[in-house]
Amino acid sequence: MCQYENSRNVSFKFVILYLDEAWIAYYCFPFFFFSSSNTLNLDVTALIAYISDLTNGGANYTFQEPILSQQAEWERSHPTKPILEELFKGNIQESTSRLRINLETAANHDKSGTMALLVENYYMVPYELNRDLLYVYLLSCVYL
Amino acid sequence: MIEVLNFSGKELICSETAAQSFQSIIDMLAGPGELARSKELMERVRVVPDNISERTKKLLTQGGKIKERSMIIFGTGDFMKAPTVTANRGFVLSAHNQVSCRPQIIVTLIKKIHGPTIAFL
Repeated sequence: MCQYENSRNVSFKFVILYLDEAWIAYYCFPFFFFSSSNTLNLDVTALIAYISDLTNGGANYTFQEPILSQQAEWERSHPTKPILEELFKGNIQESTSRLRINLETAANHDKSGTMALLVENYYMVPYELNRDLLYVYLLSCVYL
Repeated sequence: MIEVLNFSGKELICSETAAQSFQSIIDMLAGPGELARSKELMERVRVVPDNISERTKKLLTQGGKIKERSMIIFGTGDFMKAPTVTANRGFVLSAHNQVSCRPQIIVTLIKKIHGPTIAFL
């Protein structure tokens, strides 16, 4: 039924089990996957992106330098300022876990808009397949 | 035009190194609008002293895209338990590479399964 080439140390059962546990963890302890802190650390690049003329309505200009023109084009197609403002307001939750990003990607591909994951299309495998480590991880969700 | 900053949600911090670098860049090449905006932003941002977390020191080694300055900035964020907002994709990717070589659980999307199994939660 299921065929995949890179299955050296991965059994199908194990993959599904792991996936289920990850989903249970995600649904029961969502705080683990979201940042709980109310502070944001700003990098130099973030500071500059926030105050730059380019991100504050100055992108409608063709520069002499091709690099600058490309930057302006990116800015026009994907404005930076709204994202930063939403982040600062706390409306966007920044991801603290790789798993959340992957789940989100999978959910985005689901047309119904629910957070149902189609295993038909995706499966998840940890880099280190170690059951004991997994349980430590799940327990830490409960007790931390 | 100077916009009024009204982010009510998050507290913004930045490390001393980042603030200094930012200030030197602003002094060098900022226009009047940018200068005004930077002043407003820095009134809002709390500057915290540099402090690299133990975790960062242990997990990351300098070299390539991981420069000392970036390590200080990101390490300070980690020390303050605050996520870092950045456009420095190079650092993030290479840091992720360095860390994920060590034994820890990171789940990744690898490839498709061909089968009718559907999991709903």
